[in-house]
Amino acid sequence: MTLTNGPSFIAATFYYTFNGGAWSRTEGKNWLNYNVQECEWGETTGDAKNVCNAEGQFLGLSIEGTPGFVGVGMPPEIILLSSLESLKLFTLEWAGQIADLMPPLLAQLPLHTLFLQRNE
Amino acid sequence: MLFLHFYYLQLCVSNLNTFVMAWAGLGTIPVEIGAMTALESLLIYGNDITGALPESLCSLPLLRTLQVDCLKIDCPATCNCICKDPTEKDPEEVIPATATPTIAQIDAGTPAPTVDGYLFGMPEFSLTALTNPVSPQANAYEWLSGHPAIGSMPEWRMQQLFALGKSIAIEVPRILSC
Repeated sequence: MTLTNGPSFIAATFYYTFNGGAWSRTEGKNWLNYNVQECEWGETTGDAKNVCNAEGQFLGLSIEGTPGFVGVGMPPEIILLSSLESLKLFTLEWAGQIADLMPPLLAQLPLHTLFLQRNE
Repeated sequence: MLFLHFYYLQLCVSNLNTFVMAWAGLGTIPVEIGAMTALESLLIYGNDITGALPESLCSLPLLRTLQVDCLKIDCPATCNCICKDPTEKDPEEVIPATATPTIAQIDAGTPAPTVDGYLFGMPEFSLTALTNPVSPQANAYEWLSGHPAIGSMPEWRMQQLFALGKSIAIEVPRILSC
């Protein structure tokens, strides 16, 4: 797989997949803002901040589900984020076994950090 | 309760070094996790896991941080478990902060003419999703299409926006490999 480009379409797909319209003001900050690079969408500091390299490719992506939201799956476009090292999915309920809801080709990503964390 | 099976993870995310499953409703630790040979940090407190940890987990060569509920889990001496207060919910302290590089302005290049040109090279699963007007992909595409600067922004930014540009070759293997 050869991918050199950035991730706006993919990030926006994530936003709609995980009901970004209901995110809090902090986690939803700047998402879909045309004037802000997608790396700067969301939390601005800390563990849940998105991270990109100098070319604007995502190295770390963080998504937080809202209470009551049930994830039905991960958009397959995630495998196009070919530099992704860290994927953090906080507080997401899933509609089934999580392994079945992940695109099988996720394994192509150079992931070294995977958060599948549910706060209770 | 969230049930997790690790078949997929142990099979393919073999370079994973940090795995946080705190407060994830986990009921058991499958022995397969012992095949995650790159694992350095495993945080599994706040779950319903009881009993002894699998031997395979204790012998992972790189595992340095293993945080468990010692009240529920029998941790062999070889495991060097870190006992975690089950009321503690913040796993961040053991995860090193990732440096945030600044985004360099890439060569501005020439403006890209249209949006549709960037649909070329999109993988089939995205194109298929676009045919459903309520799919996340269709929403994302609609959002992109509404960008006020389309037609006047430089090529590199168009590529950033669409990510799946026509200059990209994608070879998706049919067989899952690690």
